[in-house]
Amino acid sequence: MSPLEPCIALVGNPNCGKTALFNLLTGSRQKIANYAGVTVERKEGRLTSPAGRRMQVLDLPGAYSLHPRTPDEAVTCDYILGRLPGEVPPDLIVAVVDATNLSRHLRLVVALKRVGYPLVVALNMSDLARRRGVAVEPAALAEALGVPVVSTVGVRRDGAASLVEWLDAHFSIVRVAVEHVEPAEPDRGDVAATANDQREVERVLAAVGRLDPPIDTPSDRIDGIVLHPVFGPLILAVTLFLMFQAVFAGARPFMEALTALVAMVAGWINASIAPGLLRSLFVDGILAGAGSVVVFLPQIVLLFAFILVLEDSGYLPRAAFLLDRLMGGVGLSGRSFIPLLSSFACAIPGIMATRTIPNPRDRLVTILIAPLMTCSARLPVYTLLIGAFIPNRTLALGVGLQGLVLFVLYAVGLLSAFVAAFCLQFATGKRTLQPLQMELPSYHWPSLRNLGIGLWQRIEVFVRRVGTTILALMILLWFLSSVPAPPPGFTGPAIEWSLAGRLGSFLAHVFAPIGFNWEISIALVPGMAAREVAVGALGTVYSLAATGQDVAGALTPIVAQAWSLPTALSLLAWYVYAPQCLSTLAVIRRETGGWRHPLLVAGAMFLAAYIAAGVTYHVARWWLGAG
Amino acid sequence: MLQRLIVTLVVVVALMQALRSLLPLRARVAVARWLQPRLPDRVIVWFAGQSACEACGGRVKPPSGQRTE
Repeated sequence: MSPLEPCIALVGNPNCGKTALFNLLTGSRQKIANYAGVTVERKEGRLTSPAGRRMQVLDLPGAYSLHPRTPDEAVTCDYILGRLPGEVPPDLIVAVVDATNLSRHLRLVVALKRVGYPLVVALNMSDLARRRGVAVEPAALAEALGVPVVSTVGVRRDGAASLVEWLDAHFSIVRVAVEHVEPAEPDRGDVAATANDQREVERVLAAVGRLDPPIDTPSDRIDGIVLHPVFGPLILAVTLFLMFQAVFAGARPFMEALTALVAMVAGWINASIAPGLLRSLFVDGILAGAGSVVVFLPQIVLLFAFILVLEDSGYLPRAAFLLDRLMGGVGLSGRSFIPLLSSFACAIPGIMATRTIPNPRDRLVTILIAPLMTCSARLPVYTLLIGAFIPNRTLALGVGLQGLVLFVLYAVGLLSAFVAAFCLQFATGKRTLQPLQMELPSYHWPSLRNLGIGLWQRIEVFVRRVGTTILALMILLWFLSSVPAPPPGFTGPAIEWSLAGRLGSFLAHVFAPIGFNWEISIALVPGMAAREVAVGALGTVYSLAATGQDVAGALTPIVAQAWSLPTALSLLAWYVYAPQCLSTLAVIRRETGGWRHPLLVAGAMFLAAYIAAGVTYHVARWWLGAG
Repeated sequence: MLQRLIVTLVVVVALMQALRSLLPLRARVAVARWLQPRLPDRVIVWFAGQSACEACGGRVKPPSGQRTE
């Protein structure tokens, strides 16, 4: 960070719209890393004001007070109090508050004021407050609080204009002030100190003529239905079901277009390069391998779009509230819901999101079951097998059979996680009952800008992964599948003579009881790095196995022809449980501080995968009368 | 001959990329130290990660505690 650029820290309660404001201030100029020594995410961005002043902006984790209860809150407090090693203290704190819920959010502002840094309050969601008739004048609030106040709307393009204008106007003050600040220790954080702060908040609100919260807002009316004991869970189940249906149906044309594109590139290479090692590398290694994975991008984008819309609209915390009772039954709390839901995208952010769970036992159980959630890396495998073996038929009420099977696979993952959590209760000791306390933000239309930034970040992660790890592994697998070349007179496919072929033949003995052939056995080896790698590996293996068909981008028909239905179902069951993701195991190690838990997870999940795949294979064979 | 050379180069780069993606930071730094006399500094910086090298002016050493990625 340049010493000439002042650092602005955004601080606020969870769900106050801080990250939306951060996105607005910094756009895509963001850098995500970790705080030193801990595993809490650090989001830093750069803001250039209309006057050309450059500032660093830091999005601190949400905190309710300066007395931390979770690892996330601890980072925010330590940073503000100058206790975080390697971090430069802020030049200015922007306290972001939800204008519709000032009585709760101003308590943190009162505590921040005592610390002594230059402080400005961003009265966020001020448009919503105005619509509800609970808006306060920034000038009046500034006078009552004794600190500057500006209005912001994190979800509107020009929503941070007044804050940026203020920063421009007070730039020199911000630069000078920091040299004299020595952060003061906060109060004791006991009941009396909290009551004192609350009294100060009430005095401020009385001074601006805003004490009583509105009784019946549109959000309250929606909550009357969405949080209803009967309709609420029903609406949640229907929402999730529709989400998976849409993921399958909506992505199809885009996937077909990508498949055609990959096949076109393969055709072009076939026509341009003479047969030989180089052409085989491009067509059988790179295109058949990485190309088979990249065609699943539309489904991943759609899934994330749904999750981001649910998150941005304020529905996700409601879902956590609805599931609190159900999760309590298996020894979890509603707070586990959001980390588990994040794990549907990828277990890594899900496991990292458990830092918001204050109870260490609940946190550990959530970490251990998170890999059972169906992450987006399983999606390519599921889609490949469903597309190959499940007919594209419409059942009653327009429900597609393929989408239904996908929903069932997700449900099996979730159910298995709940069963695992229930069993882990006996291993981790009795759970102390903790009531769920969480902010239910007002409903609002999702911001297209936030949705765009969120989706872009996911696409970037996926494409980078395909372009680095998956591509590299596919090239290595192609190499191992191509050398040594078979001797003259060898009649079988060349891959059978190769190193990978021999490894596959050996592994096939291990996996034969659960119905896997040698091609699947080879694909599972690079697939240990990440689940979706197995799809690319299958593409490479079948391409080199000289099937006579152009594999690049069209693996589905080959798999449909080469495997039996019991084998496909067995592989699906394997992927519900198999811990084939080294990064997830590494993150579990980091979050739990040792190898014991990741090894336990890997061992238990491999065992579950083998048993589930075996049972599925033999039941399917018996059912179909094949054996 | 040229095809073999290109393919060998691609496979070596893929191997390094796979190790870079899959090895934990400490192991990556250990490999980078072994590679350091054999390969240009720019390749070492790419392989080990920027911050592992920045901390010691281009020489690879384990980072001081801050994670890089």
